[in-house]
Amino acid sequence: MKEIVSVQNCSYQYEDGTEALKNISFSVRKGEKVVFLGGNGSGKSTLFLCMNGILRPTRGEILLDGKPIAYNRKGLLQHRSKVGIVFQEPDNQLFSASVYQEISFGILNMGVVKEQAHVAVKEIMEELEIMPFQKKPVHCLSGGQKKQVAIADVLIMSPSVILLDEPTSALDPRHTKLVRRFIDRMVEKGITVFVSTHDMDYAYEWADKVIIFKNGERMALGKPKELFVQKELIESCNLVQPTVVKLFQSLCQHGILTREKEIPTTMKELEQYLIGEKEKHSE
Amino acid sequence: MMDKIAYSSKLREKNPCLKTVFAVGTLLLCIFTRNLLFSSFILIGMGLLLKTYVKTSLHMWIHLIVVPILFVILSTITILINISKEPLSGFAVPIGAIYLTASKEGIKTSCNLAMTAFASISCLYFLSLTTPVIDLLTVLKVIRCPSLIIELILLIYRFIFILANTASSIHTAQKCRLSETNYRTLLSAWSQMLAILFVLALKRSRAVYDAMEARCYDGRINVLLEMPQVSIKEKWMLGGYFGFMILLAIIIGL
Repeated sequence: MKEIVSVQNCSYQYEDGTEALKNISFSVRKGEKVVFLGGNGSGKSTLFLCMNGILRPTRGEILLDGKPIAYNRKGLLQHRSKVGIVFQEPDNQLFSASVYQEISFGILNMGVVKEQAHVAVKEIMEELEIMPFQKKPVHCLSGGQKKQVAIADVLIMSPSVILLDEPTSALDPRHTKLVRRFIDRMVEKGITVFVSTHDMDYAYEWADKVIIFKNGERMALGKPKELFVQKELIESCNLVQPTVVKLFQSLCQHGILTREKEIPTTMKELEQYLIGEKEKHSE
Repeated sequence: MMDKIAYSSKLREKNPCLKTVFAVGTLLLCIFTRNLLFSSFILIGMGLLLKTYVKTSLHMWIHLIVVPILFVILSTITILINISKEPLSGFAVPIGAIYLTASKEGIKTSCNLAMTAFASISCLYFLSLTTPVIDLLTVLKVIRCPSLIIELILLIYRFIFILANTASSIHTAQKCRLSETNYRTLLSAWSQMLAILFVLALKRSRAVYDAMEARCYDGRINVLLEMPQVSIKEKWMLGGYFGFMILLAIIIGL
């Protein structure tokens, strides 16, 4: 499949001299599920801003569909209508006190006529389960509800790439589940989704491709199953191994399971392994 | 706080323009007639409307009404009472060589004026207790208010709440660390909070700008405004109401 996003030797230096990104390169195919991992301040958010065209890399290039971003007004507007970003803090994203107005902003900026925009807003509110609180002012919504609106904000522009900056941080379990369902639906629609997160278990289960950052550098890139078994690498990047991997490795070490088995993706799979082992013993 | 009441009012879903025309029209009638009887009529009418359609506690009512009442009474007194060497026709209280005095005419005018003020306030309360600020923006748009002003109100209105929230959480965090031990610590805590609030506001404004840019912001805030339909029945009711009121005003005026 075609490469949709390609970041080539990107560096970014803030005005105060901090180098937030150091020579980052990677490319992603259409429909791939990508997770960015890294401790706080490792450059994930800066990279997102670069990928949306808010920040211009000091060196290097970002390509969308094989074409570099054109840093003029028209080019940027076009780029941003294709690459949407859901910010970590909804209060920094929602500018209107009315949910309806808020969601209509992006699609109107793309030049859609009002009648069509109205229909689209209603549709997206239905889809993202915003209807029950659509009449409430934004400052009376809960954090999770604000997140739903923030996602609707971006999804309504029907972008081909969506960047989610720590989408489930500070959410309760119910909203975490809800947001993850929305993310899966985006993937089904064929949108290429980038998620930055600290949730290793989620990254391990969900991602096709994982990119690990540390201090603005790309430390590793690969499939979750390949990367997360490398304990030293993961820990050197200020991360921890996913629970399933940790437990599986420990069980293997103690001889309860054998390493010949393929490493499990979910807790469920690991459970099956153990049940299988038990049955073998009782025979 | 008033906005919160407006959100829960039964007239919230009605067309904001309709409500504005009703409230402002009544207000204008009130001011033009400047009549005790007419104003009392409106005052009672608005009171009944608010009682039926807006759920508020008595406590809240007193809270809302006490400031304007004080203001009106104080200003009426200053208009009413003259300080003069000659006693006037209404009443006169001698204080040494001078009189605190008022004419009969003056008393009548002041009463009319005070009542008109009360009735006008009730009209505006009706509007603000049934129509949230966001809906008033629609009205501003309809009367072709410059979009710069509308956009400013839109942003300010949202960020007042964020700022207030931030301030209150900082304040709580300070209280937890004994900022209110004495006058000195209290003052220093307040000054530190104000300073950090300013910095935070600046930071947040940048973040919001970035987020708007990310959604193709082009210098104008394009948003859809919600405009509930006005039914024919409502139009007729409004027309009938004003016809009746104008008639009443003419009769009372004569």
